[in-house]
Amino acid sequence: MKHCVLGLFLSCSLLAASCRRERRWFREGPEASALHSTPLQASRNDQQNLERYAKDAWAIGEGQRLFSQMNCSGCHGHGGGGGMAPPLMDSQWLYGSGLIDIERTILAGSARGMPAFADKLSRQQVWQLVAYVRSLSGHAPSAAAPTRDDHMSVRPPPSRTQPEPPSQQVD
Amino acid sequence: MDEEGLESNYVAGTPYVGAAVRYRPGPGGHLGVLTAWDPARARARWTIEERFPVWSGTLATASGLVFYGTMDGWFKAIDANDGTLLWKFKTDSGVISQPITYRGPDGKQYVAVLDGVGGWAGTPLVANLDTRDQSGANGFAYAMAELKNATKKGGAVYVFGLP
Repeated sequence: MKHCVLGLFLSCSLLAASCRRERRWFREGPEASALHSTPLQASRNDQQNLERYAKDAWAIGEGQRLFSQMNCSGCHGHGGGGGMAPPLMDSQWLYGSGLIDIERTILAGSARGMPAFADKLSRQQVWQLVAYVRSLSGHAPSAAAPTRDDHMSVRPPPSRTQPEPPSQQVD
Repeated sequence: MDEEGLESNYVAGTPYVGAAVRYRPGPGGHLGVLTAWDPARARARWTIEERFPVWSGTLATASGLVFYGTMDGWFKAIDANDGTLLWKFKTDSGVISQPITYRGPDGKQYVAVLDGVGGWAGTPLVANLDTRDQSGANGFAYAMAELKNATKKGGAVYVFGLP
């Protein structure tokens, strides 16, 4: 009997914990569908949204889809190993490793040739993309990090990528 | 080569690739071959296998020499008739340029080549890519991961006087 109760308790808590792995936010506030966001507007309001999305498997998965659809992979590599553009899975962050920094870079682009995506993505899509970019270097919580890829396997999944402390040093 | 077609969109300022790609060495494990074609007989006269892609141009002289450079930093002179290696010189960085020959102000013949590895296949080394992603550099990260152990970044002009 005691084992039974313990087992029930364990499976319940496991169930409760697993619920938090993924939540789909279909009804966000009006700012989530905003196009043409300036990075300044975004950085004033978005920290909480970015943190919420960075912990969520659904958001990371949607971000992965966008990473391919918006041609991020064409420059940054399919697994974020880089190419014409810098890698996203290593510890070097030229424009900052914070969620807000990544959001700003996606919205505004960079002086070295990355185009601005502010007029191509809604803010919610940017949050999803930031969540995925952050996961590439192994910084997503283990419950939410992608464990496998539906596509050709070109890298160890983010769940098995050892996170390194970010550095802004350029070689 | 491994390839998977993927959905792609036209986004101004971004490359329109639509595929995940991973290049692999061919049979024999080498990535490059220098081939001398015999156009009259429509077949290869001789071939030289190279570990990395032969990204340099070739220079053929009237006296029967062929010069070319390799990405791991060897500048070579070959006998045009049979493909025998006559001479090689280790350059500081890999060679992807076009060797030239010219007559100097002193009337002597010189051969010049620029080193400095790069190009698409050189990206994993030059841009310090993370080769854990084998599709990086649009597919060259896997095949060229060892380039960083074979040569280094650089850029210099080498001029050789002929004896």
